[in-house]
Amino acid sequence: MSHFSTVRTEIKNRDHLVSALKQMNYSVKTGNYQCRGYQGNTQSVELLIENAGSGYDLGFRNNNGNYELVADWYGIKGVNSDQLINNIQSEITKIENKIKQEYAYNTVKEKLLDQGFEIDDELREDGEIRIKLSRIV
Amino acid sequence: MENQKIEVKIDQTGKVSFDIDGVRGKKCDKITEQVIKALGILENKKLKPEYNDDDKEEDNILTHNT
Repeated sequence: MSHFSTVRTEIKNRDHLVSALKQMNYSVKTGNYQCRGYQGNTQSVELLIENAGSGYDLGFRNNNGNYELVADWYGIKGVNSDQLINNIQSEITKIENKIKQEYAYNTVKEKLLDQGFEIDDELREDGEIRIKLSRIV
Repeated sequence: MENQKIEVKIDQTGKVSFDIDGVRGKKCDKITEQVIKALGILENKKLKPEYNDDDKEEDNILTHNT
């Protein structure tokens, strides 16, 4: 008898999901793996966290664009799937914001330097980036 | 000759704001135009009191999606 169940998430970007899991100190294997559950039952997954609880694994696989969390929840003790997904989502938001911020930083610099502006000062503080530029025309 | 100064702030979510000084008329739009095109939506535009003079200055705040 299988105790596996899947929990659908809103996560679509595999790289961001892997980064978030690593940020949360999970050791993640990427590729085609079997997620282990009760009495040797397995499910195919694309991302695997081995021994997530009681010798059972956690996995993720893509289902029509969204990643779903796969595990034998009967066997894994002490892991709350809703809490886990919320924590992952929160890490992904941080990662995506960081990417947006760096993209904005590079774009602003490129577009303003192209117009002859020079950087007078640059400061990164409390998560915010401030750039002072000037030109004489 | 104009001494044009820009202070750019990029917050933790990637939202960008400009504070532009020393730029006359609509030239400030030209300066930010390329950045806005590359990053996305102009969310808010606040004009300084000098807007009605020949010397116009402005703040722009924009958000974008990567």
